[in-house]
Amino acid sequence: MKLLLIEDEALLVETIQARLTEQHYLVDVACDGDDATYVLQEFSYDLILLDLGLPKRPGLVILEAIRQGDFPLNTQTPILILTARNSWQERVEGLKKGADDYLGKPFQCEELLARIEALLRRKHAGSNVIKIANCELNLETKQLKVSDDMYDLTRTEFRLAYVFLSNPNKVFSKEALLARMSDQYYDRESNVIEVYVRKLRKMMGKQAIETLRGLGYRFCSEKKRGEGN
Amino acid sequence: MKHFFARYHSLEKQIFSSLVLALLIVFSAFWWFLQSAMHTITEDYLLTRLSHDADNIERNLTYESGEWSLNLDGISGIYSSLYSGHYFVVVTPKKRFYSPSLDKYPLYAKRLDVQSFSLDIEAKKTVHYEAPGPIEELVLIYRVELKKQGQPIQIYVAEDLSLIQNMIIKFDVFFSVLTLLTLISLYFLLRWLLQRTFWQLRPLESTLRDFQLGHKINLTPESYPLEVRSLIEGLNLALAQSSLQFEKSRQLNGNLSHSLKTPLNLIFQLIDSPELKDCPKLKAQLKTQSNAILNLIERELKMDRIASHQSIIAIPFISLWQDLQPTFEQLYRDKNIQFITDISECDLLNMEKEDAFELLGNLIDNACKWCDGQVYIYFKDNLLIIEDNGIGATKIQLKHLEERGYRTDESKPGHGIGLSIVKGIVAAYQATLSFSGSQHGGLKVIVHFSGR
Repeated sequence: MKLLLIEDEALLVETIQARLTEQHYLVDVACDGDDATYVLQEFSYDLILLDLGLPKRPGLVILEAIRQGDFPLNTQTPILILTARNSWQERVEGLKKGADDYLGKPFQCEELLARIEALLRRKHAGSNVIKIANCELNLETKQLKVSDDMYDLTRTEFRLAYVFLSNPNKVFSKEALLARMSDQYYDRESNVIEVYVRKLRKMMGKQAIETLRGLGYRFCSEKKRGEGN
Repeated sequence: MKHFFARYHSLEKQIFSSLVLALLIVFSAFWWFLQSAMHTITEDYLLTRLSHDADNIERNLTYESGEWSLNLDGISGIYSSLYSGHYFVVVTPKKRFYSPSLDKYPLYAKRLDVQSFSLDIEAKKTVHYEAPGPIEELVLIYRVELKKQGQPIQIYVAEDLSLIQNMIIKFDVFFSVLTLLTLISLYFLLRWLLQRTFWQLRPLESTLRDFQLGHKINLTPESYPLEVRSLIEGLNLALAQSSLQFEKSRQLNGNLSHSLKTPLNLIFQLIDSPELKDCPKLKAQLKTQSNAILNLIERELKMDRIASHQSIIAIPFISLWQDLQPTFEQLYRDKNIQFITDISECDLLNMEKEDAFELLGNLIDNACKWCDGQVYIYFKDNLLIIEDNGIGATKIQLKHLEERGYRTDESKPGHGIGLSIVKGIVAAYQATLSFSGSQHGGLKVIVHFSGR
């Protein structure tokens, strides 16, 4: 799962990023409002951690811009506000503008992780398991169950499986998949996608992930697979 | 003088009593002057008439063959009617003549200083005085002494004073009554005028009372008399400055809180770093101390932000709830909480907006945290009740809730500061806070505002 941390305090970014990476999250970082604008324009995220007191462009302005559709890749992305000015009036204002949750500084990492997990679960009706056709991806154990077979996934396998199962029947270009699986500094020429698609096909079955020439890949729900046959 | 006015704290009374006093003095002086003038004019008029009569008597007094005689036919008939009120007596060296009206009554004849009389042979000497008449209480007597045919003659002419005096008394009474009526009318007119003038300041009085009650006020100098406009402008300036100062201090407070919390957040992260895994004692100490700093920042700085002493605009409770409801639905989306409210549409909460959000936010958040799907909110007539259907608190816990920073369950997120902030706000607004068990199962929090 790919998160964007928008925070200006370098040391705090370092520690949060380290803790999140430990939890197998892929974390992109933006240190000010302008940076945030750029990455939000370029990449799609599963969750955004947004500090309100940002240099260059205030957090609330960025929040408004995201929800108004200025960054089409992230209009629906859940947003967790992090701020030191945690008055209830500000909280109400932030949530009114479209944030999904609010965490006052200082916070403990456990609390942050709990909030992130809760927000990500909301996407899948509060469950830890995404179930499409005969595939079940457990977000907590990072295991994939296909019919009766259980697979322990590596970090990259899990990330790719998460992208596919969260967006069944959606076509992803190789570029887009690469962007969702690596941080903002990834190598665009890498052939890592082909390698990992092949690995997932071995687990899910050849028809589960379709190759669309010149377009990219698509994870097919059962209905679509039937149509393919 | 200062002392005198200090006794009258009301400006209206001061002006009124000064004006009444001035009116009394002016009217008394006027009355005295008119009275004296009336008396003098009447007396002068009478004396002129008596002098003319004396001249006439003198003309009718003749000396022939060593005998003085008086021709009564040449003198006005009024002196011939008995007790007509007009009398005369003529004294010659050998004979006295009495007017028939006197009927020989010995009219009091005042003597003149003979020595001074003899020095100036041709001069007429006159004097007037009052003496009892034959039937009248008082008559005005005009006496003239002269020399005729080389002999000293005294002519006394008298006129009854009672008629004139009665007229003067009548005039005095009439004038006094008129003066009194005028004074009374002026008294009421003045009172009405002053009240009408000061009535224009009534809106200021009620506006200032609103300000005293903590409401935000707006004074428009144009709607007040010219004399107090500068005062209103000064007041407006002072109010604006006070509000500006508070906003500035709030801003500074926010900045301080922000700049303290960011490094503190870092400390919180560092405490959890793997390097400290092997030092649990040190880690615990660091945690305790950093939590203590956080508590201080949150509590003390938030307390300082409370605007209870500022002028405020009362907020419709319903509008606050309309802002808060989606917030809580969002924050507790997974719990799918049902909010059951009993809020009157027009009931106002006499609190500054940020303080109101802080109070309600903390209380409702607590209810949401502990509820089992239902939170009850009631607000009417300055009474706020928030309840939940959770497991509630034991008697000991209820007692502890009154303490600062007490938390019933450490497993739920939060620093336990919310409640102490609630207590601070409640105290600042002179409201009362109480905790009890709810009929729905959970905690019941009652905040009663004094209706400042």
